[in-house]
Amino acid sequence: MPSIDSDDLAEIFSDVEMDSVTIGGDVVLGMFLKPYQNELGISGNKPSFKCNAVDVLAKGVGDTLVNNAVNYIITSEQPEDAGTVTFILKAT
Amino acid sequence: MALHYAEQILVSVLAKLKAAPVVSVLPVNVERDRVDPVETGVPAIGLEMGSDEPVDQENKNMAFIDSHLEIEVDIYVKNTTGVSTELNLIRQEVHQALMVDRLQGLPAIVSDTRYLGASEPLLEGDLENAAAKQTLNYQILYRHSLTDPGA
Repeated sequence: MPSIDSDDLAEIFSDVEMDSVTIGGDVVLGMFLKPYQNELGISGNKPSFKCNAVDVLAKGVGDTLVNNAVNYIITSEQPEDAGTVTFILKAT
Repeated sequence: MALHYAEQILVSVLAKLKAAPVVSVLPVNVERDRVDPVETGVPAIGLEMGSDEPVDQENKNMAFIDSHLEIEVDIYVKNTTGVSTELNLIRQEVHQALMVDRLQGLPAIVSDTRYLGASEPLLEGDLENAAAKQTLNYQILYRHSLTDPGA
């Protein structure tokens, strides 16, 4: 199976269907996920944002991510072999 | 027929918990026999009935049974900062609610309430905010008829 190269990632993450957020004030396209989560008998969600790693080289833990006017803090970053990175978020 | 004394005690305890002045976030969601996740209204409190064991009685010919009814009070919090601080605020008020009147408003039934301690708080980071749960345990001593636990 052919691997995903940087051109593919750039094309994928520039698609108009991607979610547009700001990280530290800069616009970044990617996939914002907020699935339902139930822990300790408490309902909630687990927000995260996946994007092209080269688009966020200077971004990371402690930066503010804004999606649809809701602020989140990046609490963890998970780089992936495919060249993407997933930011784990906490609501502020 | 009167309700089982254990039921009367739990009803009284629930009323006390609902009336507790909570300083953290109003109102605290108080529910008995909580089996579903807390969807909204966190912080929340759950009241559960524990074991109900008879006290070892030397005189087996008594016309009554003394028992230890254990109750569990679960506290659920979710916050941006300081979940353990919020737990301590709430459990202080829970303790006051249950121990100011150790007869639980049922002096003809209950003889004492004892604090058995609190579990270590469980912390969780896989939600949009930090979450925590802690369980407080109490033991309520009461007496009922040998033939009818509602008398």
